[in-house]
Amino acid sequence: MPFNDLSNLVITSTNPCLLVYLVDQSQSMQGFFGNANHPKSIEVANAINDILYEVGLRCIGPSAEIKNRFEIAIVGYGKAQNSVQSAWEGQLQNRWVVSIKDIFDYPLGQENEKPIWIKPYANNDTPMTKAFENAYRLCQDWINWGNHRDCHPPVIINITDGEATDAGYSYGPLKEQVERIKSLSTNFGNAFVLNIHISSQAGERKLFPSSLHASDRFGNLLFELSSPLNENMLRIASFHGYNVQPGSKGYVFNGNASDLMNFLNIGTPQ
Amino acid sequence: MKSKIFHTHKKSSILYKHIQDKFCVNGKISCIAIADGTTQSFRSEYWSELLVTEFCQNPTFNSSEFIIWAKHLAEKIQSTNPKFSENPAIASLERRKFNNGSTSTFMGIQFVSSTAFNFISVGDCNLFLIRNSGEISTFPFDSIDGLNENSSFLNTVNLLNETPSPIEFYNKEINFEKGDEIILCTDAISRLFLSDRKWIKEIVSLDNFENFIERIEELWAANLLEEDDITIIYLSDLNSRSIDIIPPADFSFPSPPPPPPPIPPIGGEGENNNLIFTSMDIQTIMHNFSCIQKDFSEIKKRQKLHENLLLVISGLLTLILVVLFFQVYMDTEPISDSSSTSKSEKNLPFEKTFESGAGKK
Repeated sequence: MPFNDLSNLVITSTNPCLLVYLVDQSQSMQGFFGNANHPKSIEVANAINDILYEVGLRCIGPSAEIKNRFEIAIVGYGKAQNSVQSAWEGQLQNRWVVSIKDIFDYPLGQENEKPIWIKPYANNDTPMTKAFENAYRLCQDWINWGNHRDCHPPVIINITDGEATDAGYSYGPLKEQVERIKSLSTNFGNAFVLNIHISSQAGERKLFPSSLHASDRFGNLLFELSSPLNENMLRIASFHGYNVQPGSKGYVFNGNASDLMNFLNIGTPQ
Repeated sequence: MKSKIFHTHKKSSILYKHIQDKFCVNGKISCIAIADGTTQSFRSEYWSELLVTEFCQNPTFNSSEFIIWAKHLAEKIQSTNPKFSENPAIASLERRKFNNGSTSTFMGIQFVSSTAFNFISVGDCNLFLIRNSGEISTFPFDSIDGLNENSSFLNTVNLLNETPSPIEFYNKEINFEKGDEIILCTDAISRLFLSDRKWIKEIVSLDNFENFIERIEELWAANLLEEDDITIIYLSDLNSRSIDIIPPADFSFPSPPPPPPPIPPIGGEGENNNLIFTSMDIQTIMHNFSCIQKDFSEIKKRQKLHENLLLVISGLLTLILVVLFFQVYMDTEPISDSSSTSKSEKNLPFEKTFESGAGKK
């Protein structure tokens, strides 16, 4: 059955959108971005806290009420050995999908007069396959709940600096999990999977490519597994100065801190 | 001039009081203004209302004078001390929005003679002039692309900057003839009219507010019209002074059905169940269950391993005992066989073994 036109869909509290952020919390996240003076884990936590704040700005109404236009999951992987857990803390601890209203009702604290929700971790290995498996279950349950089939398809954004430690030699299990997520759909299309690979090294950056033949085998895999940007994402990417065209994929290799924040903005539907 | 005003808020605003489009008609000086406050900016409805009401008191069509005038109004807005939410996280959002200022587009006209009016606009409002001949002229945009490309607006903070970002004004004197009709529109309805001019006649010919709302809802449902606040000021008989269809201030759309709670309650209706679980609670419980299940299976595995180890150890012990027994037995038997021993000797096998060993030497 053909999908409805996504460009005609307005994200509202009646038709919210699910965002799932998969956050690498493995040991290598202790490394610094190229010229930055923070570990990558801190930059990522800051970027996630910032994007939650930006989403809040889009959802606040004239009477200062937060409209539930977005429901958000933050899944951390690698905080403990081979484990995946919800990254929400404080009063949201152990919850998986949280409405933007609840997010603003229960922040973890404030930094520089802005609320924060998650803290940085850089501890163990990189069980990315497990994280995608978890995202699949969250998205499937979310789509099957209430009227969510009439909503924007879920957007899954994976932020990593390395290679999955649970994907096997041929990456078969990881491929399988990501393809399962991409096969999930609402009446407005398939779920989007976007991947950003951040790096400590000042290597060549690949920003939203439409084809990729990198020497990095895992980089090629993440590119293959990423969804193409939709019309709206292309527009925002152009606005941020990226050279994109139809067919560009939601994938960044060797991204820096600024790419990370832009990437999160591009991946968050308007 | 005979005016018809069509004005309604987007459905998601629910109540008319939340409309961010504002208009003002001052018949005394034949001045009309519309403004569209942007949803994302801080309480833009106050800003758009201030713009139209002040403009209709004291209109100006010179862009430099307009900026000075608007700057004065912006000072009023930014010098207020708004009360923010008690929730610190929400207050932080409000502060950020306040610091970014209130934003609105604007269009104003004033009739200067029986054949001409002055026009000024900033942003994506549009004017349609239907000539007596049926020809339709549009100002300032004649296409949807042109309208979409214009991102200029009046922002309170920008106006107060020492060097504000450039504001793109459109201003001119427009001539008209007897029998011409003028329509002032905010952006969403302008896009509809620019997409196909047939909509202009259809909408402005509606004769009451109920029919207008019905038609707009149909257009929203068919995705032909963007769901946004709508303002249309239609001026037909430019010598008359009547105004029709002032939208009722108490108008509201029915509240949309409550969104499915992110947290679905469990337990039938009417069931006095104090334990309300949410879908996320259930997810958490399921997750915890699966963890417990994993832990149990791990414990079972270990138990099985321990059992097997115990079995192996006891088997080994038994084997050792049997071997020892046989060794002793085998070592003692030949002695017993080779010499006739008394009952008491048989009861001392080790001693006997020693003796027998010594004997072999």
